[in-house]
Amino acid sequence: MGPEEIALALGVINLLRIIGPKIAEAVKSGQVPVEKQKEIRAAYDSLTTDMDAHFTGPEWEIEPDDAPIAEVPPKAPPA
Amino acid sequence: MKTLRVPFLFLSVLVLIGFGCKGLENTAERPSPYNGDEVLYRAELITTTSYDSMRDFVTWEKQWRPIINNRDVKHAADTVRAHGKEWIATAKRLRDSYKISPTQTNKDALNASLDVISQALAEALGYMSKYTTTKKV
Repeated sequence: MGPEEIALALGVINLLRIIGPKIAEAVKSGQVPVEKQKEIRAAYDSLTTDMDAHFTGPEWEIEPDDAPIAEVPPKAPPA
Repeated sequence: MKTLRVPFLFLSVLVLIGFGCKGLENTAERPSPYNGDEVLYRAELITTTSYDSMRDFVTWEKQWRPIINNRDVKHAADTVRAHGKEWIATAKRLRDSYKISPTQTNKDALNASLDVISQALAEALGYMSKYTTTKKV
């Protein structure tokens, strides 16, 4: 197994760590309880009622590729 | 490698979508806000989950851009920044159409729009996965 295959395997493991809990939550029960449905409905209504607010902020601004970077993070990016 | 990774990630997202609903609780005592319509529930679940993931991705990319130092990642994030709102708006419009008229045609159109979001999400997850496991600092 070469370095790229190892990197892919690590990537897959990390991906499963990210989305695994969501999949586990989705498949663990037979039915979606009403409370969970209401939670999703509330989140959806919040998102779609004021979309501008949800897509506003520095993280949503497109900067030039060569724009100066304000600060350098101190460590590796977390998941 | 990318040709292997992205389909796998996309498949994983499809698994999440496919298993995202195993029936809705809907009784007289505890009525479902979706009236038991799994398609509507799934559409809203995917839309909100995808928005959260898109926001996490663009925030992560901006915060760690100096370390990542890869224009492909920035361009992927910029694509989400440029089109994310449009994707969500399209999904909402098609979800509304399906809610009014739950035909197979409207259902297919809704699912197609959710697939677009899922593909962007898969690419984002791919970059986040790659750069949080293999990048040495």
